[in-house]
Amino acid sequence: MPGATDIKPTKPLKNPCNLCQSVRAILKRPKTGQQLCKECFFHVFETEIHNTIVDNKLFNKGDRVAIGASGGKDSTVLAYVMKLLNDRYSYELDLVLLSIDEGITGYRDDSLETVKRNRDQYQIPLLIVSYKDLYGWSMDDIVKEIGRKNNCTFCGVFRRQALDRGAIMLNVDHIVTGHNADDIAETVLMNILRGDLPRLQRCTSIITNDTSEDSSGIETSKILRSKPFKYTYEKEIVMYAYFKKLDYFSTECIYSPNAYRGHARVFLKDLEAVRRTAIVDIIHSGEALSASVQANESTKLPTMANCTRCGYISSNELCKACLLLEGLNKGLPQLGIGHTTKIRRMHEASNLASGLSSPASLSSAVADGSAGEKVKVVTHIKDLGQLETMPTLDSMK
Amino acid sequence: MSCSVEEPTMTVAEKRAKDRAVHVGFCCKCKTAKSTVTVRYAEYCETALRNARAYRVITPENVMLAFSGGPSSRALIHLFDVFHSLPPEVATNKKQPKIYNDIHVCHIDESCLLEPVQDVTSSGSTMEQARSIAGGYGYSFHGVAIEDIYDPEWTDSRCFEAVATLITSLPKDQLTTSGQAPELLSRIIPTSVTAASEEEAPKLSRQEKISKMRALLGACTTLTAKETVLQHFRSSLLIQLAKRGECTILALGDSATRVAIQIIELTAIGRGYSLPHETSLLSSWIQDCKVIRPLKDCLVKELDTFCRLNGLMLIERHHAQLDWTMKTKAEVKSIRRLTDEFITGLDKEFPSTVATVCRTAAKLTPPEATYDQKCPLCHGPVQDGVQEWKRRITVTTAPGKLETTTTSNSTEAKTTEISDGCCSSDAGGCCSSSSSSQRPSCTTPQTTTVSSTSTPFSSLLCYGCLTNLRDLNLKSMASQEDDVSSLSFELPPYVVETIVHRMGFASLDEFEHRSDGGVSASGTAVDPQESLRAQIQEFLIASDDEDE
Ligand SMILES: [Zn+2]
Ligand SMILES: [Zn+2]
Ligand SMILES: [Zn+2]
Ligand SMILES: [Zn+2]
Repeated sequence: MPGATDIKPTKPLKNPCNLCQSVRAILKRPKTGQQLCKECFFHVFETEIHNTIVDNKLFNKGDRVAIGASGGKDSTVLAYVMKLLNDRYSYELDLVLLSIDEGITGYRDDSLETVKRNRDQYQIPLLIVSYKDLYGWSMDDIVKEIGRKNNCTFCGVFRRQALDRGAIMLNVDHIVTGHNADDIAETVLMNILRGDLPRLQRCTSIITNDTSEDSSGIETSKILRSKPFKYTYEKEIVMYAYFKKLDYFSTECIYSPNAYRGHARVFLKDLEAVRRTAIVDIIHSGEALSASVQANESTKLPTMANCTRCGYISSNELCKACLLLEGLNKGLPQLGIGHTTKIRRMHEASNLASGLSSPASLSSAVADGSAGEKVKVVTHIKDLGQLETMPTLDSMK
Repeated sequence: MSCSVEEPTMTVAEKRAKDRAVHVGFCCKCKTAKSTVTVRYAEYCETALRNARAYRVITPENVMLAFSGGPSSRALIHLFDVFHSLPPEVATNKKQPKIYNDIHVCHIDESCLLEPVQDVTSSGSTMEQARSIAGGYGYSFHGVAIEDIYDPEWTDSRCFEAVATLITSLPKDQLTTSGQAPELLSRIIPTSVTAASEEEAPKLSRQEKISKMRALLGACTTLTAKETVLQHFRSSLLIQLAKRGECTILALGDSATRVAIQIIELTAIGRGYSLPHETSLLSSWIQDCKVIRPLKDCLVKELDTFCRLNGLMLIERHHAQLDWTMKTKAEVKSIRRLTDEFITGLDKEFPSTVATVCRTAAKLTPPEATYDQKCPLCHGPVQDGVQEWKRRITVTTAPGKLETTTTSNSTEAKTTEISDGCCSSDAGGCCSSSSSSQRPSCTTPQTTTVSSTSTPFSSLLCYGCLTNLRDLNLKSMASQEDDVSSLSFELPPYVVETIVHRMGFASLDEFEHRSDGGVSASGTAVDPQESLRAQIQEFLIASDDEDE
């Protein structure tokens, strides 16, 4: 059998890498089916991300960029690749890691250890902000309160705000997240299935910026979020982490996503099995559809203003996080989920009285999550004990 | 309309059922109380009227009803009949002028694809059944067999005597080792007998046409690709049928269920750009022929019921079955079938799925594109720069070649200009030559030998077709140095007609004369060396694939 024994093989290699032809292939690329050697795989993987960054002009030289880091595979690889590309192509970015501690025992505490190791391995500074500090509720607390159903609603809404708040503390211009091509394709399908045209329009854009129309908005609105992995297959991220021997935390969030999205995910996997380009094909379709929406429905997007309580961007008087918190704090957590009209009405009726809790204000959060001069007002009917730990209306008032 | 009378003593649930029933076109009374068939007719009429209103015109137009033989299109015919013989209270309504002038019915006979047997006797033919159903309503009938897509007659010019073969820009041995996606070029092969005896040009036999079509389907390595190509053939024939029947409207029997499945399927196969045209109630994309889907609000179940209640005869086996063409078990699932199962399943759990999906797509605006620049294969709109888009997000060059391709955009643009010699113009397809020109395989001599006979192909395609043709078996194609006789499948005349038009020629004659000159004639021509760009290699890998 001819083999890769000699330095200069004159005989054809068995199973040579499709790209360099000089080394034996050791993997089959999920995105193309090509058989590649390790180095060629690293090369195409990294180059595609670089192309995505350059073609979409994601950064400017000197930008301070936060990498949303969960300790999972996507964000671990993201941190690694961002550092690598930053060095290789001289992006001249000032990178920092930003982690959210949702307070999920057995999941987040372990994964945060991974992030801390990443910090040391990649020499990138790290900031951890916790739900508990920001909202007064950890996810464990929330699950205790509302059960396992719908808790991902809280998780998602809270995380989004928490990232922005962390970014403000870090004084960064831009957050990159580990959303990959599979996530985006799935979201395209979801938005068609749910008939959510405004989201369909936005979900394929690589940079999002929920800026309010009026530029007087709070700093949050200036923070861009982008997805350098927009065209990167989840399987290849795993493969990359595996061959690079990257240190990541592989357990999925123990509070699983809803059934509907689950169906879409399974469907997407089936499609990918039948045609491996299906994921990029769906993203391509999504981008085209997004243009089709623009002409028509985008005007129906609500005009954005700021939450009267916490200052976060919101199309309503109260942002979704404050609304969810109000539900939680009143012992009626279900009200914030799904149709929010009911609780909004409730909120108006009760006229928010004096001191419902709200996310810690930016300034106090930046300070140190201070337990100092907070006025606690008991509004929680179910569990007074829990209330004791809640931060309350802030120095913004 | 007679059905819109509200029952005074309706419960909330009944009311809701009624609202829904009205929405999907069912008579409320049929659901809440058993009523007569005439009443049901009237409600259906209202659906038809409602959907027809959009295209009400001063001058009544001829409409062609596409009849496959299945329940939805069967219901379509019946409903058009009902609509034109309305109950008095509707018919006398002067506010509803006559919309359609003549009603025609057409049918595509797909019996040659029902089973593996290459049987050309018309035993399984569906044509006579379809004809008699249309005749029952007194509508004129037009039929064509699916294999006639290879007939020069079934083109816009009605006599386009050329087919084309596809060739790859790389020699075969390199294809197998690189796993790369070669640029696909077409080579146009006139089929008319060499100019002399035009009188008795030998027509293709049915058997020959069937073989050609089977050869093309056989070159597709996936069921998805086969189904998609076949669908393009159907659409092309339906439009031709409508035009021949002098109809300016083609009515399809697509139900809400069908449309919802299509919306997801089209998204999954990368056809999001043309999706609004392919699923809308009314599409004016095709020149001189509007396409309407009047049953877009009715669930397929309800159309089934409608057919059953009215005792409408269906054609049992009417749709091409492609399962027999599959060589491996892995092929039996296509994206269409998966989507079908997915939507049907989801709709059981979340009953509003179909309606929601349809509503989503109904709000989309079709893209602004030029009909002249249509995709040769599907005749859909073509977006600029799709090959470049693919190339940037799926890199297929080895590390050594990295520097030029990736340093920066501006450098790359320059490289492209310099690396010319091969680029006849700025044709969108050329941009990747910066990488391809560095490949040892792409040497200049090849260019000169082939440019006179090669015409572009990949660069003319829409994204969806580009993706779909990745499932073509490259081994069944000739490469540049091979001679044409080694080709194993051909593209039908309608495709070639568009290629020639897209290259700027008015006719095949003009094309032949100018390309006889030897120079690469057109501005849109792609450099024959174009290669290594998109990634068409799946099946190559698949052939030595056992290790996954
Ligand atoms: Zn290699
Ligand atoms: Zn979660
Ligand atoms: Zn708020
Ligand atoms: Zn096409």
